[in-house]
Amino acid sequence: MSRLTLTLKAHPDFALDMSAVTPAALLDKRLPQIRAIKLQHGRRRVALGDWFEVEGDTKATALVIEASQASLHRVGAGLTAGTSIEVHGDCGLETGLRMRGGVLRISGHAGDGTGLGMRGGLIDIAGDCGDFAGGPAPGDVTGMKNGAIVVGGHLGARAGERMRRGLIAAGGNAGAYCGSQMVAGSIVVLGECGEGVGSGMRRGSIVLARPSSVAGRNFVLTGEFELAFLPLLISYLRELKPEWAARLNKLGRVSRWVGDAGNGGFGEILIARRR
Amino acid sequence: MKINGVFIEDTFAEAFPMKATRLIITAYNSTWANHAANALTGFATSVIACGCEASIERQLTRQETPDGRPGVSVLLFAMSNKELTKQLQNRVGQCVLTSPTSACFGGIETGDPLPLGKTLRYFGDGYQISKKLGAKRYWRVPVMDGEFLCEESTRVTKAVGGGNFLILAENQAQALKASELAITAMRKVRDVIMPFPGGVVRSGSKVGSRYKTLPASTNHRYCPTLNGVVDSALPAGVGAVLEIVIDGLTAPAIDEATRVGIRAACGLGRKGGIMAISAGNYGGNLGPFHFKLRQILK
Repeated sequence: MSRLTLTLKAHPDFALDMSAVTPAALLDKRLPQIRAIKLQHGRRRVALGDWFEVEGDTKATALVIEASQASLHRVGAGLTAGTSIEVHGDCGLETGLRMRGGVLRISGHAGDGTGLGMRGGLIDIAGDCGDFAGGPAPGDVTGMKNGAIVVGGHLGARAGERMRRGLIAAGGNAGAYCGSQMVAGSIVVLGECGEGVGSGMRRGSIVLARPSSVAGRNFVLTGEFELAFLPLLISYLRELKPEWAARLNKLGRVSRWVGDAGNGGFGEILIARRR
Repeated sequence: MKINGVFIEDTFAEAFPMKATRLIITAYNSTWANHAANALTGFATSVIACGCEASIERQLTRQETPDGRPGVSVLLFAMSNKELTKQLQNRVGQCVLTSPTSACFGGIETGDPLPLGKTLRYFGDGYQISKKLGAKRYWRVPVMDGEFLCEESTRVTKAVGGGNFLILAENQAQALKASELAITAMRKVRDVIMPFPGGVVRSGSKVGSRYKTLPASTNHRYCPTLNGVVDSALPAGVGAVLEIVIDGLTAPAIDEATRVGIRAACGLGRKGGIMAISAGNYGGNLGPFHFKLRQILK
């Protein structure tokens, strides 16, 4: 597959805004034009070519960022369907901001605000993800409305806050207030979950794979069930993260807690039972 | 043309365009999946009075179903998208939603969507839960044994209805035996159903009737008890005729079903009392699909 590669030449001391760099924005531009694209770097506007070596096919819908660092913010912002970005290294704040489609793969970690206001597509992070993943973008009332954020490592605090639709899944632990004020959608945590899980949630599902997990006091236990939709969720996750297959297969019978009763919510926390 | 001594008439089956969809019904075990599927496909032999033609296409293993449970694949055919939508809503709502442990999924990936869980979800009275996984949306409707899981929509595809062939035998038992052999073979073909009871129909019909209110009436030219009284189409010695009607998602699928069905029926041979194989048509002026027996059997 043809691709366009940007290789970071040096370590930016502070934020370099990458929101102008998407495959759709670069498509059919010549290399000099791409190098001349202006990026916000702190208070200054700098040329992309000042920071990146650019090479490859300018007609490619796949973009590769080599030697990426956490000072690169808003990588993959507004990414659209049919395009992809592969990041070798870390990403900074607001990765995949208002992403609409396509695939954003990150080999390292992603910072706070990953997938804010996401509308579609897939963000696949091999490492950890910061706080507020899938939450509302600045100025928005609700969080992500579609798509999936899959994190190989740990999720930060308040993942999926006010999320409206879509999926967030973590192979590791999730921080405090996971799924707080959730409106709908699904969150799956294969590791431990911090305090306040589902706090204020109205609808949606939070699946906790550790049998030792506990739901808050505002959640009502409705019983233990083998829910027909769980195999579908598991099979969907297995497609996204084949390496999770063995752990996902342990998800069968769950205890179902409904809440947050504190605000009349009908969300659910599903906690795996021991097999 | 003869197969095993059985004369193959130089004629064709005349078939019509229809709209079709496939449903996948799963349950706790195969028995309960079949209970739901049998109820869904009940009273669905002919669009003349049933609204749709439907039948079980095949049994599905756990590996073939979306939720990893045993299942059944069902095909439904109707004359229009509107009628198919109505039949889906009524039949899935009354026969699958009500069946213990069942779940229902669309079984065709392309084509216009037809509502499935999209309308049935309202049975949940506000307690239903939507789950969107990738491009597909599912509805979880709380019911007394847990939850009824239903995909939001299925897809409709252009299809062909009314493929057929006739088995002309010396007596009823021989015609029945040949039909059973044909149906057993035809059920291995994908994308087709034989919607009549046991896959076989004994009351082949013609268009119209001497009674004004009836749209169809007995095909008197193929009734052996009228042989010699009317302009019969039956050779002398024929004592029973059975018809196998085939609905398929594609014309080639009907070709294949016709081929394997006739060959299986002819397995009994002339010595087994099978005299000829024919097909029903309306002179070729009504249906755009013509399944020529001799061409199919070459």
